[in-house]
Amino acid sequence: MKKIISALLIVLAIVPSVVFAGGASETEAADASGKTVIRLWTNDRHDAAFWQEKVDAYNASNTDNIQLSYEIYTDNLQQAVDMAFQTGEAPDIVKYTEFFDKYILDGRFADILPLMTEEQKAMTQDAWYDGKNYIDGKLYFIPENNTCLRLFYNKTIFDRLGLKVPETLDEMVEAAVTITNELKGEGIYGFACNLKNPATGLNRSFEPEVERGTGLRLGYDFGTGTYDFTPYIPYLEAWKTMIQNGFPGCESLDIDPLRSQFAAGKIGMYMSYTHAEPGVYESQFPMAEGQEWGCTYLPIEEGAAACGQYFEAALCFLFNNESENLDAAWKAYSAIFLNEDNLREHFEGGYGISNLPVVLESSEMSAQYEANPALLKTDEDVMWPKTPEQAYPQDFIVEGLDMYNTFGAIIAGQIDVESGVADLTERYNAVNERLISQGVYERIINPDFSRN
Amino acid sequence: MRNLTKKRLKESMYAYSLLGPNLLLFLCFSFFPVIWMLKYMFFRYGGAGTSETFIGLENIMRVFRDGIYWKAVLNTFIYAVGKIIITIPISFSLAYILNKKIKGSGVFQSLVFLPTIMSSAVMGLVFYLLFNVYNGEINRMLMAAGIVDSPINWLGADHALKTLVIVSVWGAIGNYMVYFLAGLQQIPQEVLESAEVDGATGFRRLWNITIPMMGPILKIILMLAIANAFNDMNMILVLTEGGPYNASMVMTLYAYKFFFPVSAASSVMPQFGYGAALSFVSALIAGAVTILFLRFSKKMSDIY
Amino acid sequence: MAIDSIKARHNIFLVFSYIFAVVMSIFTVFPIVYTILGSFKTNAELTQGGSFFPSVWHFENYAKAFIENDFITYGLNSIIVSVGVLIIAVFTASAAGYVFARKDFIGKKIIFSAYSALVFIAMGSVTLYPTYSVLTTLHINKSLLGLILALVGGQITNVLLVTGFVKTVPVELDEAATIDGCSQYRTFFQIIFPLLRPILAVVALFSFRTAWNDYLTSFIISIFTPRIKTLTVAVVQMQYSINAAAEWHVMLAGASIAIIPILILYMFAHKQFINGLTAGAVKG
Repeated sequence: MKKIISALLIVLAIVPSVVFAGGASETEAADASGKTVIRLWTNDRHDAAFWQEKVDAYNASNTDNIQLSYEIYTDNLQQAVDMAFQTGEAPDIVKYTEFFDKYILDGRFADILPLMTEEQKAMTQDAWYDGKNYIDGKLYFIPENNTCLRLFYNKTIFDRLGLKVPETLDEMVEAAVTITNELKGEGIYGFACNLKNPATGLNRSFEPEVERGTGLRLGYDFGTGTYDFTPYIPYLEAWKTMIQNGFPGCESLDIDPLRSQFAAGKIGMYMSYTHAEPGVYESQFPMAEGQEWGCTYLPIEEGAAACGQYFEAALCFLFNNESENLDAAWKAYSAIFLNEDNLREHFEGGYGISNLPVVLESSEMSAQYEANPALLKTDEDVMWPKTPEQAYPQDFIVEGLDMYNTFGAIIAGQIDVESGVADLTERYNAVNERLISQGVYERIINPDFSRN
Repeated sequence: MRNLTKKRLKESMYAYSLLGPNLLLFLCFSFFPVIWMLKYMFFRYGGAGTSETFIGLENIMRVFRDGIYWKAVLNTFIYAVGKIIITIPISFSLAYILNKKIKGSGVFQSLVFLPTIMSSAVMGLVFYLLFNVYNGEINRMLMAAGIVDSPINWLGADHALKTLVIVSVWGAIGNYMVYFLAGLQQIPQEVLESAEVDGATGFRRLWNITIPMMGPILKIILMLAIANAFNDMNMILVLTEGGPYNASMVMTLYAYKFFFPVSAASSVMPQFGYGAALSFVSALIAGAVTILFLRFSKKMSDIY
Repeated sequence: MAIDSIKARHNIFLVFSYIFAVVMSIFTVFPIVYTILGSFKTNAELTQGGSFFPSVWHFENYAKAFIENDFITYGLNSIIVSVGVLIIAVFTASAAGYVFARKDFIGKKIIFSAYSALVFIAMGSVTLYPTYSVLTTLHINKSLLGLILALVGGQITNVLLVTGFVKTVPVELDEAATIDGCSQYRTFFQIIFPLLRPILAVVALFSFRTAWNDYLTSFIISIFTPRIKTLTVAVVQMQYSINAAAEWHVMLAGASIAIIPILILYMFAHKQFINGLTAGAVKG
C-alpha cells in the first residue's frame, strides 16, 4: 500500500505541471516573438491543405508581423463558436454558416465595407446579396465561392445499360428502377441518399430539387406569404419509389459511406454539392477501375419551367467585431483569401467553384468543368430570401415532426403522402399565422420570388 | 452544554475539511445542473446571441403534447427491459459457472469482461461496419452459414431498436457478471458444503440456497442496471442517432438533440428551455421507475 | 443416491458450462477481434467488405494513427485525464464517504439527503451545458484540469459505496487510534484509508474506465479547445476528419490502441476489484 501511495504522490506531483501548462497561450493576441496572432476558424476540410500552404507562405513573408493561425473545427464549428462567444474568446475570423446569422443580427460581426479598398469592392460587388451578406448598407462577408446541388451519376452504369441521363422526374425514377432491376444481382442499385439524419440528407438533395420544380422554398410561397407543401407530392412519390427500390440501408447511411459505395460502382445516382464531390473522387475515394462519374441538373417534373434553387455561399468569412486586431485580420484575409492569384489557383485546382466573375473569367477551365459544365452555377441557382422559419428561428417552433423528418418518414412509407403533407401545411401555417397575429413579424412577401 | 457545542463545532470543521473537496464537486457538477434545469425549463432560450424569455409552463405542456417524446419514452422502456432481461440471466449463469473454479475460468472471465472496457462510442462505429445491410460482416456470415437468404436490415426501422439491445447486451454482460461473481463469493462456502453433505443436487442448491442468498446484491445490481439502461445514449448517438425515423430514439438522446442540434441543415437553433423540460420529465420518469422497483423489491423481501 | 450418477450429472453440467462459456466468449470477443483485424486492413477492404482477415497486413496504419493523426498527443491526454480522474476520485470519495459514515456534523442531514436524492436521477444530456459553464466561470474550460474535474463530477455513487464500506469497518479501530494520540487526520489517512483498499480499487477502476471511455463530456469540452481532445474523442471524430470518413482503418487502429492501457489496468486490478465489490458494493 505504501508503495502505491508513494507512486500516486509522484504522479500527483507531475500531473499538475502538465495539466496547467500551456493554458491560454494560444488565444492571446501576441505570442512570444511579438507577432500579432490572428485566429481563423473554419470547417472546410476538402481544401485545408491548399490554404494551409498559402497561410504558411504568408506567415513567413509578411512584413506586418502578422501570424495567421488556420484552425479546423470540422462539424462542430457552430457549437465551438457558440461557446467561444459565451466566454468572450471568439476567434478573429470565422467561416460563415447560416447558423451565425443570429450573431450578425446581434452585432457581433464587423461591417467590412469600411475596411475594403475600392478595388476590392469592385472585385466582389457581384457577390453582395441583399438580406444575406449585405444588410442595411453593411457588408458582413464575401461569398468567394459557391456550391450548388446537382445529380451525380455513374456514367459507366448508364452507358452499360444504355440509359439516358435523366432530365425529368419520371426519367430519373425509371433509370433508378431499371438499374436496380437489372443489376441488383451484382449489388448495384439505382439511387441512394444519406438519410441517417433526414434533415442533413434531404436538405442537400430533395429540397433544392423541389425548389427548382415548384418555386417553393422550404414549403414557403413568397408570393402569398403562406406555407403549402402540396406541390411536394409528386416529388415525394418519386423519391418513395426510388428509395424503396434503391440502395439498401439508406435510412442509416451517412454521406461518406455513401460516397465510398458510389466510388466502388454500387450506386447509380445521388445528389450532392458541386464543390465537394469532384475532390472526393479524386483523393478520398478514388473511383474504382473503369468507373466514371458524371454530373447533371436536378431533374424536375416534365413540362415545368425550372425555378430558382438555392445555392450556398462558400469560402466566406466573418470578422469578429470585438477583435482587437480587426485591421490585422483584414490585412491577412486580403492577402491570402482576396488574392486573385490564390483564388484562381484554388479554382483551377478543383478545390471549389469561384463566385467572383473576375476570377472565373481569367481562369483556365479544367477538364473537369469542360466535361461537366453542370458543376458551374447557373442563373437558376439563386440566393433565396429568408423564410419566416429561417428569419425567426427562435420564435418559429413547429412542434412534432419537422418537415425533413416528415419527408423522411413519407419516403420510407411510414406515413401516408397525402395526409402527411396536409398535416405539415396546416402546422406550419398555424405557426406562421400565430406569429403574424402576435406581431412578431409582418407577413413576409417578396414578389421577386413569387411562384409565378 | 457549551462544551458540547464547541466540540460539535470542532467536529464539524474537521468533517467539512474532509468532505469539502467532494462537496464542491458535487455542488458544481451534480447540484448546479439540477438548478440550471429547474430554471431553464420555464424559459425560452436559444443560446448565446439570443434572449431569454420567461414562458411559464409552456415547455412542460409541450412535452405532454410531443408524440415523438412519448414514443422515445416507450422505446426507452423497451430498450431497458430488453437489455435487462437478457443481460441479467446470462451474466448470472456465467458468474455461477465461472465461480466454480473450472479450468480456464480466469480466461473466460477476462474475455467476457473485455467489452466493458471498450469505449461505447468507438464501438458504435465498429458496429456500423458489422451491422450495415449492404456489406456488413454479420449478414455475410449469416448468409454464408445459410441461416438467412437475404441480408437483414439490422439498422432499419424494424430492427434498429433490437440491434441496439443486442449491442448493449454485448457491452453489459461482463459488467454484471463481475457484480454477480462478487456476490457469489460472498456466500460462505460452508453453507454450500453443508448442503452438499445433505445430498442437495446442483440445481437444488442453486435454487434453494444460492439465489435466495443473492437477494440483496441482486437488488443492487438490478437497480444499477435500471439506472444505466435509462441513461445509455453514447452508443445510440453514434450508431443510429435515434433513427431511422425515431425508431430507436430514447429519452436522453431526444433531449440532447435540443441542446446540441447537430445538423447540416444549418439554421437549426438550440432550444435549451425545451431540452431542460424534457430532461425534467425524463428524470421524473426514471425516478418513478426506481421508486417503484424499490417498493416492489421490498415487498419481495418481506415475503421471503 | 449413487456416486456415479452424481458424477455423471456433474460431468454433464461441466460440458454445458464449457459450451455456454465458449459461446458467450465468442459473442463478446468477436467485435473486438474484428476491430483489431480491421486495423490492419486497407480502407477499401473495410468499407467495401472484404474477407474477415486482412489480405495483406498493413502495420503502417498504426504509424499513420500515431504520427499523422496526433494520437500520441491524444493518447497522452487520455492518460493524464484518466489518471487524474482516478486520483481525485479516490481521495475525495473516500474522504467524503468516511465522513458520512462516521462523523456527526452540522448540516449532515441536508447534505446527505441531497446526495441520496440525486443518486438515481438520470440527468442525461442536460448536465453538459451547465457543466461547461461552471468550468468557464472557473476559467478552466480550456485545460485538462477542467476536463478532469468535469469527469470526476459529483461522484454520488462512489461516495455512497465508500460510506457503506466504512460502516463495515469496526468503530473500535478509530477509537483506538484516537486514544493512541493520533490526530483525526492521521486516523483517516493512516488507519482508515488503507483499510478501504478493496472498495477504493472499485472506485479507481470505475472512474478510470469512465474517464478513458467517455465521449460526450470530453467531446463537448474539447470542441472549443481541440488540443485537449482525448483518444476516444479523436477516434470518433475521425468520422469527420479532414480526410473524411475515408480513414476507417486508421480509426480502428486508434480504437485498438485505446484498448491496451485499460486492459493492462484491468489485469493488475482484477483481483482487488472483485474483492472490493464483494466487500463493498454488496453491503453499500
